[in-house]
Amino acid sequence: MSGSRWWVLALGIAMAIAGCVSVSTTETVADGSALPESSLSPSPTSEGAEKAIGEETLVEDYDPWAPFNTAIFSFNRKVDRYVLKPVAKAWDKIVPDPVERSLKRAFDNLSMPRRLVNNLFQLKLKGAGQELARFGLNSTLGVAGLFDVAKVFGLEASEADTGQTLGRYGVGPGPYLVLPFLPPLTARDGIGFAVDAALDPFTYVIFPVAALAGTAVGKRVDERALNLDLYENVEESTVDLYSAVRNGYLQRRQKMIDDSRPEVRR
Amino acid sequence: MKPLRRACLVLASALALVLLTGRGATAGPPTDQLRESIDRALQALGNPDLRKEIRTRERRAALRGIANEAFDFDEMTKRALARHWHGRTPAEQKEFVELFADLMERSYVSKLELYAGEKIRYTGESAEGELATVRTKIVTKQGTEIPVDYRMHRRGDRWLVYDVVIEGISLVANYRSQFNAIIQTSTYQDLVARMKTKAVSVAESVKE
Repeated sequence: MSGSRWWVLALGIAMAIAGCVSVSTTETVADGSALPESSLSPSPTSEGAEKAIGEETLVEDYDPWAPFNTAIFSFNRKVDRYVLKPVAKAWDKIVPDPVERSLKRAFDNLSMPRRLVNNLFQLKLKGAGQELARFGLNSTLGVAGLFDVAKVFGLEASEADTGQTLGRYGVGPGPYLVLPFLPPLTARDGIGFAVDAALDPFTYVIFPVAALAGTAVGKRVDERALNLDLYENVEESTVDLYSAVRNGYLQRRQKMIDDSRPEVRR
Repeated sequence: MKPLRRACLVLASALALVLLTGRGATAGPPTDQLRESIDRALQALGNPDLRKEIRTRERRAALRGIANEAFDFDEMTKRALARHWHGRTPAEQKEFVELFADLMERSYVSKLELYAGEKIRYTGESAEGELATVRTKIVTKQGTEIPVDYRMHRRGDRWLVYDVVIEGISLVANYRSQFNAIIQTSTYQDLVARMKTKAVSVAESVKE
């Protein structure tokens, strides 16, 4: 492992500790009522809270780094608007949809180690087995992952990442975190992201930083091209994009972690 | 998916639901009423007379009528404004319900339009007294499944939707976070102004 990667990990761990410590403090909302924010408490949007009709509990999304996050968020939006979207549009014109999807599958295939390791840590042995079998089939018969042959055999991908694994074992999300060029994160998912990057074989093939940037750009251009309509839609239906994205991300992550815990599943 | 496999899956999930909730997972009135509304909406979307680009406005009017019968916009607004609801006058509340209904319809209807022609599977229902959740999956042309849950409550003999949860994201909770962010950093009046400009800008993009 190269020096720079250790650095990222160390930074991540430091952020996590900071996150977990500050999460256990109480936050006071404008109306004067104090809301205890335990790192282990279920999310404000879980089923239980939603059922209390009339008495709607308003637990705010935990975002103590809002000034920093807002600045990076608007920077990322500019990157998206002036770089990513035009590139994705051009890409979408040149490259036929089936090829775009094939590339997405090839990228997904290469992130097998991340899913395998995390399926194992989450004790999803069936998922781990499926991942191994899928990688074997798709890398050979599926031509380096360009085609999903395994799906024909009923072998579905078993999505799992390090942030989710940490969440499953009780690590709270910590503060919301927006970093340049990256999708939304929390302190916990930031560490997860660093570990996941270490599990990505691309990182070892080419110079680490260049590889990270390269695959990230490739993946994002491809995904953006596949979702051109979807993005327009989100902007049309929001009044405050920053908090909409933040809340959407936090809700979806909570759901993914709930789903990874067998005892919570209904 | 092979029929046998699907049958096994359905059986297994039904069994799991019965075991875990202690209740039957049979589709009841909430699912029936929701399915009826969605079928009507899909019919309007698939109607060749309304399909053409120029007919966007008529198509949306038809969908709006259906949405007004299926959704409880009062309840949605109450939940989305949460504690900010109580400080408003009845006139302000009424105005906000209308603005929010507009916004919800635009976001939901435009998503429905994106998925027009796709299959919708009803995967389960859990009801508890006056509350129910109907689980559905939208199956896209590429075979991707998007889970969409409808949270409903009973008003008289009708089951009305008060929240839509798409891929684990509750729309009402998402708007609650947006409304709260604007009110906290600015004012309620600013929120209303922003909702109004949003409605105008979207109406103009429809006219084009």
